[in-house]
Order: sequence, then C-alpha cells, then structure tokens
Amino acid sequence: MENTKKNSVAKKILRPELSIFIFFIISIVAGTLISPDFLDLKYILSTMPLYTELGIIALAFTYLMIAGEIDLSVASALTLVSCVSAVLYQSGMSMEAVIPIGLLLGLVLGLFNGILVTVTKIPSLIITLGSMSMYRGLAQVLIGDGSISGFPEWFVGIDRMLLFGVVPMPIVIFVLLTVIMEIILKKTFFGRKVVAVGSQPQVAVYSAVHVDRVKLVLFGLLGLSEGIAGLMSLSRLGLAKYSIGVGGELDIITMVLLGGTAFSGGRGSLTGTALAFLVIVLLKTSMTLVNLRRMDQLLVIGLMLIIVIILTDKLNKYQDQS
Amino acid sequence: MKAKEKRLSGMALREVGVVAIILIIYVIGCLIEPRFFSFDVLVNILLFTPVLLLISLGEMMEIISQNLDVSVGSIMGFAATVGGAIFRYDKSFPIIVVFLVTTGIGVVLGLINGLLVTRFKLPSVIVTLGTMNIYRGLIFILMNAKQIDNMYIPQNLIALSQPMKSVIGIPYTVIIAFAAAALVALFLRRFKTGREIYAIGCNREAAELRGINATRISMLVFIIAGGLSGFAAMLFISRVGYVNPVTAGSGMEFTAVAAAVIGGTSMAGGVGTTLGTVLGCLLLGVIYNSISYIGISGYWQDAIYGAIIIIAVIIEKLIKTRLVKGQEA
Repeated sequence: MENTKKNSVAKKILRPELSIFIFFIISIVAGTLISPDFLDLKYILSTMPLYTELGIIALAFTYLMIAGEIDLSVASALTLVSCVSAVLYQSGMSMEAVIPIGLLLGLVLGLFNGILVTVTKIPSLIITLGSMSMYRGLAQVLIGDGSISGFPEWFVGIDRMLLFGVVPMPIVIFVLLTVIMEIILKKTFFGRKVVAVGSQPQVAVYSAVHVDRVKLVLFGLLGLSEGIAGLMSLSRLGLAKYSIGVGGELDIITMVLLGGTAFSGGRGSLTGTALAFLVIVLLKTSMTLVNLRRMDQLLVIGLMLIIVIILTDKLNKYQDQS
Repeated sequence: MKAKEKRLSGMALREVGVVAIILIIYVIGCLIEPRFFSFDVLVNILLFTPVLLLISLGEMMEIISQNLDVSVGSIMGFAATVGGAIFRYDKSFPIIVVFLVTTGIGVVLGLINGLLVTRFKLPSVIVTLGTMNIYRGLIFILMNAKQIDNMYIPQNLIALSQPMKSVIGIPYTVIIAFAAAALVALFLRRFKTGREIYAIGCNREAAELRGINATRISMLVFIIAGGLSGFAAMLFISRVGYVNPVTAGSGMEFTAVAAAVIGGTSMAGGVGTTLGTVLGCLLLGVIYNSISYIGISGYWQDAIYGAIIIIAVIIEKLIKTRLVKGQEA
C-alpha cells in the first residue's frame, strides 16, 4: 500500500517535463555565475519579448505536433502577416482596421496549409516546405528589399507596455495562452481528440473523431497564432521587412521538442513548451551577456536538445513502466 | 501471379507522374521563353542536381529505414568548410585526397548521429535537429566565422562543374553524381544489406524476427548518408567556388527530403526508389531554372518556387492515384 503510494508520488515528480525543468534551474545557476547582472529580473523580463513571438507560435505548434503534423511555414507566415499589415496601413487604412485583417490573414495562411494537407493527404512536411518559401516570397514581392515603418504611437512598442509596471505585455499574453491552452488540452473533449488523432489515427476514426476536421482546426489555430505573432513583431520592431524571423521555424520546433512533445505525435504538453521557451530565453540571454556569437550559441542549444531528449525518453519509459 | 505483376507495374507508375510534371514545366518554360529550348539550359538543369542528388540519396535511404535526418545540410557545410580550409592551407593539395577527407568527415558525423539514435533509441529527427545545430556551431568555432574565398579554390576543382571543360559537354560533377546514383540503385536492389534497409523500414519487428540486425542496418544508413553528404561537399565547392560557413548547405536538408518524397519515397518508411529521387531532384532543377530563365523578377522567385512545389506535388499525386486506380480496375 505504502509502496504504491510512494510510487505514485515518484511518478508525479518524475514527469517527462522534469528534464527541461532541470535545465531551467541549470540555466539560471549558470547565468548567475556568468554575470551578476543576470539575476536582475527586470533585465530578463525586458529581453523576453525578443522571443515571445516565436514562443506563442510554439504553443499552437505543440498542438499540431501532438496531432502528428508539422508546419515549416510558421516563421514565413509571421513575416507575411507583418508585411501585409504594414502595406495596408501605408496604403491609408487605419491601424484599428488593420489588426483584425492581420489576424484573419494568419488564420487563412494556416488554413491554406491545413486544407492542402487534409484534402491531398500529402505529408505536411512537403506542403509546408512549399508554403514556407511561398509566404516569405510573397512578403518579398510586397516590400522588396526595403522596410516599412511609421506606425501610430499607440500601436508601436508592445514590449514597452508594462503590466504592474514590470511585466511586458507580450509575456502576459504568452502566459495567459499557455494556461488556457493547457487546460483545453488536458481537460476538454477537444483536447482528448487532439491526442487521439496523434497517437492512434485509425482508432480515432473508429471512435467517430473527424480526424481531418481536428487537423484543420489545429492548422487554423496555428495560423491565428502566426497572426498574433506577426502583429506583435510589427509592434515591437516598429517596422516590417521580408527577412524578419528567417530560420524561426527551427527555433520553434526546438522549443516544442525540448518541451517533451513527441515528434510522431500523441504526447506533449504546453507547460513543457513554455518551460523550454524560458530555458532558451535564459540561455540566449546569458550567452549574449558573455558575448558568445549567435552561431556559436547553436552548439550549446544543440547539445542541450540532445541531453534533454535522452532524459525525457528515460522519464517517459519510467512512467510507462509503473 | 497476375496480381503480383499488376503490383509491380503499379510501383513503376509512381515515377510516371514526376516525369509528366517535369515535361509539363519544361514545355511551358520553352513556350514562354524560346531561349529555354537549348542544350545549355538542359546542362544547367543537370548542374542543379549533383549536390542535391547525393544528399537526397542518403536522405532517401534514411526515410526508407524509418529515420529522418535534418543534419545532412550541416554535415555538408562542415565537410565543405574543412575541404576549403585545406585548400586555403595548400592550394595544390591533391583533390582526390581532399575528396577522401570530406567523405571521411561525413562518415564520422553520420556515425555520431547513428550512435546517438541507436544507442539511446531516440527519434532520429530530434537527434539530428540537435546535431544539425552542433555541427553548424562547430564550423563557426573552427573557422572563426570566416569565409573561404574563391581565390583559394583550385581551378581544376572548379573545372569539374564547367561544361566547357568536359569531353562530352556534360560537367563531370553531373556524371559523378549520376554514377553514384547508379551505385546506390544497385546496392538497394541487388545487395542483401540493401534489401534489409527496406525490410526494417517496412516492419522492424518482423525484420528482427527474421534475424536482421536492425541496429546495425540503421547505423549503416546514417554512415552512408553522412558519407554521401561529405562527398557532396566537394561538388558544392566545385560549383559555388567559395565556402561560406553560414550558408553552405543550410536549408539543404529540407530540399533533400522534398526531392526524395516528390520522387515517391514514403514518409512511413519501406518505400522509395533511386530513380524516383533522381527525378525528384530533376523536377526541382527544372522549376528552379525555368523561373530564372523566364526572367521573372528576383522578388517573385521564392514565391513562385514555393507555389510550383505545392502545385507539382498535388498534380503528381493526382496522376499517380489515377494511374494506380486504372491498374486496379
């Protein structure tokens, strides 16, 4: 009796997310050792919005990966949304009208992938490889090599709008989304359907789950998050350029995988992704503090990814055993 | 017996769709721009393939064995940087030796991937996403982020990818790559180990029950893919003429997956042919060349390239299902 209780406590603690949590602690300790300024919470909070856009997309991406699909076009879609919004504003539309259009455009870009994947049954990796270069290409067609800026005062600088005088707005949005989406995944019927689609598509079909419809909703959701992220980057940078967020899709996939989501689908958590986001922000901040070049940082991120995956795998096996 | 025959011809039909799309795009290209209808353009289309083809062949074998490797681009970049560094040190270094060195580097990096995947029984995508970053980061630390300029690259290496310098008008790099493809095809079709790659991709448990050592085969596939990428590095230097540690091979991994899958390799494993992958590379080459020849403004190129990839895979899929259905009826 006591033994089983002990076991269940251990099981609660030794969750797959634990490995990324350990790295969370390590990165804080390492950061503090590297520079005394690191523990300045205000400083960390002020650097976070740099990555929040990718973090928000990573949340919706987690859903999609749990359902067994992948989308390489995420960063390009972000760029296209921000470029189209900028062009619309420049052509005389008011910012209040541009925002909903930007969100809608994100939704459409996501659904475009979703419809192609569900109707043609071509692997999402291939479809979105095409839309990845198509979306960024369209942004390039719209704006060319230049950039657009000069947005209204109230729209620019979302990262400088603070809640309670300390927490930047993007972080607030990110945390809210994490909580809401985790609850939906773990507690609602829809959340269970997402997991079912990813773990046993055939069984899901027999259990009267509309697999394609679920996938379509998830692609749409991802698109919406691209819309939000696109507008956020427009507001934070105050300008639109076609080369914004190049390579961001890999950062996003890294966050999702670091958080313990299975690439083949069926398993994953938003808390894991959010923690992975934090770890990456902390690591990148501390590495920048010691003047490590962006490309040298790749080595550290890569090593961490492999170690976390090995640990997560062991923890998953432990959970399955007991 | 008859059913078997039908299935076999059904397999061959996989490639017909790709051939059709290649021809359609080529004809459209010729109609829009008459200059497109020339020997030079055909050579240029072929010239697009060597580096991509070698990497795609490795990727194809990995996908067949139910693995996915996104580090091949970084492996190619790594090997190319080292190869370039050797030439910077001594321009007259024998090219054959450098070929061996870059291939060796590819083998070692592939071996590391294979060890991580098989020892820890981890999904290959995640492991290689990690090593992709690690290898790319290492290039930087080794090279101190400096580019290897054109002046260090020996002329006789660059000549390998110039049609004028070849006896039959087709650059040697193209011939090398296609010869490699023929070897891979022979290996996959006629050799026991080659067949075993398909076996573990179709049904790993069943393959193991028949006495196939799946771990050994997976290791081998990673090593071959790494070696091919390392070998491709030299063709890359020959074609491009300089090595930039940031751009060399970046994004190549996804293009290689696309080439393999367009050619009929199934992401579920166990299915895929060398011919299909060759055609997949040629299709991407035709798309790429027609866009630049037709004189579409540089700004439009990426957008159209992406759109054509999507349209091409959809049409190809339609043709394939139509044909296979016709066979069954």
